[in-house]
Amino acid sequence: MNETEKLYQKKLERYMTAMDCGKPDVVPVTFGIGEWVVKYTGTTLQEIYYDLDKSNNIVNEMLKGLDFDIFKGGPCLWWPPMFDAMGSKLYKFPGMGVDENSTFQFNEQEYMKADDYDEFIAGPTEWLVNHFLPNISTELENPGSYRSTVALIKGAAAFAISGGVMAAAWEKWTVEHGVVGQTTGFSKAPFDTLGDALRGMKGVLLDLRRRPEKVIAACAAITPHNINCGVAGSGADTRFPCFAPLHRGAYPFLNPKQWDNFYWPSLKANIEGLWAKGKRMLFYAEGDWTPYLEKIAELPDKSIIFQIDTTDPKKAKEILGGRFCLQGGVPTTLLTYGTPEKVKEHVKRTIDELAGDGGFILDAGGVVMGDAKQENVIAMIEAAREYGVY
Amino acid sequence: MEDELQIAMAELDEDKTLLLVTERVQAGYTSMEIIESCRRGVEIVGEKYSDSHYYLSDLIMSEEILKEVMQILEPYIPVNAAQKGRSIVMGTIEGDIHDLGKNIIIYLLRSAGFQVNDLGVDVTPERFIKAVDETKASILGISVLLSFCVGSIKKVVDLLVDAGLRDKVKVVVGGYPVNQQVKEFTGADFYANDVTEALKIYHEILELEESSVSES
Repeated sequence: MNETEKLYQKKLERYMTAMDCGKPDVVPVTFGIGEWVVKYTGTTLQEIYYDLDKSNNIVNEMLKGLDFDIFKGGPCLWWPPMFDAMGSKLYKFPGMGVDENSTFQFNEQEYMKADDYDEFIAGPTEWLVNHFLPNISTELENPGSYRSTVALIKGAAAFAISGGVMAAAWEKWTVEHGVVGQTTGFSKAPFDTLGDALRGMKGVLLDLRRRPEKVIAACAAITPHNINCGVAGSGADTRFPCFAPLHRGAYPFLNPKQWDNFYWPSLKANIEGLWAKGKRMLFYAEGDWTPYLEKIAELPDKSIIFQIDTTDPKKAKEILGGRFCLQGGVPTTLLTYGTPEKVKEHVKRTIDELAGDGGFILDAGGVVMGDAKQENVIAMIEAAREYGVY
Repeated sequence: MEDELQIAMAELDEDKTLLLVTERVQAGYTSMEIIESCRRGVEIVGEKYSDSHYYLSDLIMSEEILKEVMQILEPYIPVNAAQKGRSIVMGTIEGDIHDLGKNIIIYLLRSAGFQVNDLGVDVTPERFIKAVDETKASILGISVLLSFCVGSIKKVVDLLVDAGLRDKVKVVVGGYPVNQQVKEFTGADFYANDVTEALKIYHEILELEESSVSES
């Protein structure tokens, strides 16, 4: 085993131990290279998004000499050409609908209408192919047409190309720098699939009162697909959790009764379904989930890593600690408006408060965006090493 | 006396509210009387939201019901009955296309009698300045969700200074990522990341203005 491989094993061990609520030698710390990196590289965000090689080289350069455990990846969540090939209406990308240095944004619409529920529930994937794809992509408006077929092939090819390029990049980062990737596979709360992608937030929130039984049936129809997505998307890997960004379950979108009836049952079934296959979920609780911690505690032990964004960290520790690994603790605003000194003070306090007897991973609370300062992000991982020794 | 329409609105009973509105139109109530009942219902919705009895989904439902009520009443509203409340300019900052929070606060402010000039989303600093100048609004509300767009809010405040308008308008920033640091960084006067706090701020600004007017 060479030095980098040994390093990888050490970091992997820390991550695995923390995920199982154990106490590693140090508090594991994550690092991700967000869109903030473009401020320091003399490139536009558009170049970073469209030129994967350029973006991956920037990541490779930056990883040299940084000491952290778990890597959350580079600045691009998506490779836009896949969407461009299909004339997708879903996103505005840097330089395509928004400024060349503005982040991508989701164009939320009622891509599924209230009248579509029954057909969707009867066969979700069939409905997606026959109706959703034509609704979200100008090039796919006439399924089966020459134009649509070519666009579908181009889009699918672009997806495969980006998958291949990114897999090679991750391999390089792992082999050369010994970093451990955080997640494999992807899932969502079924209610979020329905609300984010299909009905839109307003649509789904009004549905709760106008056609509640349809919402419940749709979430139930989505659940097996989201379980499969978490497992199949990772090639059945079960060492690492699948990533699940969670949205409408945050306070105060739904009232407690709605949360109990509409959001939680299908998400719980999703997590239990994954866990039955040995797959954990990175429960990426964006926003504040404090009122729902008791319910979340009903999940099987260790079946999730609970991400603390603006959830009350003390309550999260009190209610979930010991049974579920907790991750987070550093507010994203601190990484933007703070100074390295303030970040270090905060990291020390967070470790004192949350790291305790293990089961904790230090991380930024939410997605670190283009406004963050590099020196603050670096200060976070340095402070983790300074104060994170058990 | 218990007003059935006000209660139906407050309880978010869509069918009953719309039925009562139609009945009252037929019974000869004026559109202003009907709107007033609904407005009081919306006020209760707002109170229930501050008490955590209602959540965002409930606010959105009440907004939707009121929209439908207004559609029924539109043909009966006299042409010159536009509200004459305190003027506010509001929009989502440049680079950001999120409008849910902005729409909810505008809806509640309008129900409370404020006159809100909604500039929409992705509003450039220059357009904010132009609107403040043209409407002589005393309050400027800027909504933001994406934290990296906060820099443009600072630009709005800087441009207000350049245009000589800074002391004529109170700037309120609102949205999920705002806090004391954002307020200080942008030079805004107030911040709120909850609709209840925001409403309180707008009413406080109004009271402050009224007391300074009566003093002078």
